[in-house]
Amino acid sequence: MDYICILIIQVISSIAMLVLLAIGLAIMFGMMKVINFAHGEFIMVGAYTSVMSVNAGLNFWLATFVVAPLAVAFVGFIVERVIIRHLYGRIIETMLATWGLSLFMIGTVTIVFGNTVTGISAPLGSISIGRFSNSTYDLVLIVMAAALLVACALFLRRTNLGLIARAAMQNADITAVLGHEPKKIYCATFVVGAAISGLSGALIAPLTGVSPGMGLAFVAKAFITVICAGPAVIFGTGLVAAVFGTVNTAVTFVATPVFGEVALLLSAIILLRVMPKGLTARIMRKAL
Amino acid sequence: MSILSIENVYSGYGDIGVINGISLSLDDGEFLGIFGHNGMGKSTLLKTIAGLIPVKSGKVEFGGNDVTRLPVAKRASAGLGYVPQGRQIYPNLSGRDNLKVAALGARGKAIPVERIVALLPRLEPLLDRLGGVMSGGEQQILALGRCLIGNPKVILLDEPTEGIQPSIREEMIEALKVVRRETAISIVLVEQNIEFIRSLSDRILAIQKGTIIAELLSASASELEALEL
Repeated sequence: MDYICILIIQVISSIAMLVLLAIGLAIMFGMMKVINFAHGEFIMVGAYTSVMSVNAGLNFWLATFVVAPLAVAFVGFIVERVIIRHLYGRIIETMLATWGLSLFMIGTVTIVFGNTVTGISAPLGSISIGRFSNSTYDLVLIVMAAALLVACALFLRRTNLGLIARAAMQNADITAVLGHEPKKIYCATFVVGAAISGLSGALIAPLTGVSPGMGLAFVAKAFITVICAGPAVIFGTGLVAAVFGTVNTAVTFVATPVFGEVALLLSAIILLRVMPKGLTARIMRKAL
Repeated sequence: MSILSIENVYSGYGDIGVINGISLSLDDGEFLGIFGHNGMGKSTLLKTIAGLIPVKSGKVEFGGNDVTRLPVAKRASAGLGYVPQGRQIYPNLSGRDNLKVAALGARGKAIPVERIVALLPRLEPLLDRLGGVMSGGEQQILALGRCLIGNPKVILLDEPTEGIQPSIREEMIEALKVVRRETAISIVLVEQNIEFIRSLSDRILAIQKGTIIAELLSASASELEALEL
């Protein structure tokens, strides 16, 4: 019984992890079709900001929920102004530019902090379930992943700004004709995506270790999740994360983590072979 | 008194010129028809006036101001409404949300939805349906409502009869007559349906290969057919 409990927590943590890695990108790529290869580095900057703030004596939660998202939002704002804005609709150029940006960010952080792994320990200790114990922080990640999905969906569904964002994603020209500046909407969307990536980075920092190249390990998984999600970016990201997270953890349990990763990639290939436009292109088409 | 005028305007897509030196002016309260066949530059002309396509040379004036280089959204805020070809209703938003996006874009000067529905009663059953599942005619009514809600001074109307059954065409004529009667909006209508254009327009310009080749009063619109366009 306790074994099953731990297994379930591990599966859900794995899902939550995928959601956290992907949701910032889901907003940028899913809604704006901007391929941001520097997504992993946005997460990395969020993680570094959190570690630096905590090392400087700041409260962990303040560093995670306020400082890291604001710092990465600022980075996102600069990146949008300097690079992304000039490349909307030009996918290849955007890929190249953000890949360069990714290398630049890794290089800069390496120069400043050195090519070493730092980290912070997870707060809150652990809870024991029967013979086993699990980090309480895992539960925080689960709650935060769920909260982010719900908050994004509610924002898009219930607020005026969310409505304008959805309109601009469906038809930017007409949204301009109706009196909205598409550039402002895109900039705001990119900055929000960056802020959420920063929050994700700060949240996962205690689990993964923080190094300049950490983003490289995340960016592929994030892209796979978002691309498999399909048109309903928020709901799809949650659903695909649920599928991949379950597959990954289940296979990891019966084999090794390496096979877990292989199984995740394999299920992504199968999913895209069967549904080339993503999971939500076929089902739940009215979701967000 | 002219509310909208363009002077010797050239525009097109990339290096391909489509509009080759068109000048026209729209009087306050006037209904101007522009007649021409497919590929003659009608839609390009309206997109250029709306700001979706940049002007290569020439001048666009709206409400006495030069708007040649003004971004699309600023022109819209100044009161230049545009109903695009193919309606371009947001498919994944309800009728009400389609209207709301326009109302939010118009900020303070938006007209309440109830007044638009009173003007166009056909809108009522469309409010809670998704744009993508509406028929062409329903989308056209919604597109007109979506434009009206922003309280424009001028509406640029691009081929409202395209892909619409004849019975709905009559309804569109009635709806546009109501708009003319109840509001002070000036309208530029671009069409290739002669009956439609002559039952609404005060004045008709014929466009061919990106230039204006004739100007007629509505009464003599039958001459359009004789014009060997």
